[in-house]
Amino acid sequence: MYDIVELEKKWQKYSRKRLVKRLLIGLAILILLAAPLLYTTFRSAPELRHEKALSVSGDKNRSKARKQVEETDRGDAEMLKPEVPSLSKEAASLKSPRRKTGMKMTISDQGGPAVAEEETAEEKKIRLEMVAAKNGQVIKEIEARFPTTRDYEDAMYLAKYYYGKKNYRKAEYWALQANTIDSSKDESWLIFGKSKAKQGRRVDALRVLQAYYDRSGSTRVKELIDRIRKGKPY
Amino acid sequence: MSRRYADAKEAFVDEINVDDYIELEGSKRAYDQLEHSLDKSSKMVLLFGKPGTGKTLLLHRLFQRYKYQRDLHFVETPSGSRRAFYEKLFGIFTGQTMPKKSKIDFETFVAFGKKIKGERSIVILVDEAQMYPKELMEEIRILSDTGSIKFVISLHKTEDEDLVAKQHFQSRIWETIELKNADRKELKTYVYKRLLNRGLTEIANQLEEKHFKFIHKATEGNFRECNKLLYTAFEIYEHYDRHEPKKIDFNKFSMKILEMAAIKTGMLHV
Repeated sequence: MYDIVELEKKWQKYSRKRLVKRLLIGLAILILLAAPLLYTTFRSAPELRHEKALSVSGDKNRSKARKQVEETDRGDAEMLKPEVPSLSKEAASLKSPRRKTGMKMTISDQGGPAVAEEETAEEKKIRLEMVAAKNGQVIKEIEARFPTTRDYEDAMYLAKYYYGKKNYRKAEYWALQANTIDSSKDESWLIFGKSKAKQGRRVDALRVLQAYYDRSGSTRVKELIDRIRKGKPY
Repeated sequence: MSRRYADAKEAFVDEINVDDYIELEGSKRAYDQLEHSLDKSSKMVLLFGKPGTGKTLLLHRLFQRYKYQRDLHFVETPSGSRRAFYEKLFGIFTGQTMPKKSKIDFETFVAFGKKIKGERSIVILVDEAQMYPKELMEEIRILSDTGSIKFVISLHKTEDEDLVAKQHFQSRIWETIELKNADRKELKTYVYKRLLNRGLTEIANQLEEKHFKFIHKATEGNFRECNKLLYTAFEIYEHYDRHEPKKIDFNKFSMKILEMAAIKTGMLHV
């Protein structure tokens, strides 16, 4: 009889090889079965990631844009900041303000598609401002919500908008609204005075501005007074 | 139990024993065709197939069946030389032993064949014909042309041997019978019958489909290979039974032992 021990060893070797072979085949089958799923997942993943990224960056961009617009608005508002606050008789009759930026609304309503694109914050700001400036619907919305929001920046935004459109009556009205909310800022006084003067009421404009200058000492207001008095462009 | 495995081992000893002949569909068809060809006018019949497909057993069976009824002769062992073949032929023709030192005259044999035409119808079964020299095969062809001698030539089916067959027999009126390897069903019947012929019912019942699947795959349905595989398997069983009986489950046939036998016989490569 031959060496049975040796034969058993050979069988064990064969058995191990067979096991490995079966495992490899099983693995190959598993990969083949899973391949379509992986392929689908792989293909859809970048889209999802992209969508997610867009969504996140959109949110970020919106926040950034909001921040920047807010900063811009604040910058503009600061121009109206009076050194010595003083309300006019007309302004005294207005209600107390609740701060909310007009651009926030503009961004959320109109800026969606713009912020979804991969643009720089600067580009977004420009675009949003353009949208806001060109879109009459936005102005109407801001005007409509103002009684509820009583937002200084909304009022100043409207004042500047109408002043730019040479609608001085409305510009005066919205500058006064802004001033009643925050009379410490030069910008509202300046728009108010310029709007009055543009309507031909230069005396009224100079009186209000002088009164504000006497209390605040604002150089910007003083400069405007001088220009109106001398008939220079302002 | 030891005796049982020894008997099982003996059941698969690869030897020609007509009594052990197991009639399977394929071999029965070949036998019927061969039997039928004896009465045909064909001068040569070619029986071919791979080694182990049962050609020799088929010739044996035919010989046993008709040796007393017909002028039928069996040249079983390939002749070592041309002279040895003619000595056998001389015995078939005359019933006598050819005198020693006598000269082999092929023309004399051809003349004798012509002479007995119509008187005798000799059938000579030639096994393992692939071992005959080319010249002798040519002489066999010419002898068959005498019309009084029919040769049943058994050849291994290989590319070269097919070529031999073409070269020597293509122009002759001859019939071809091919024996093929068994399919799984035939092999199963073969194994069962081999075991049952020896009363080994218990072992036969332990064999399952998976075992036959493996046996068929390893042997490619070749009876000789099957005999070799199962002989070795039962030899291993016998060893365990004698020396390490704890390693054997007597109630079921071990696939492991079958695989070990396949490794031992070279049918499985490690």
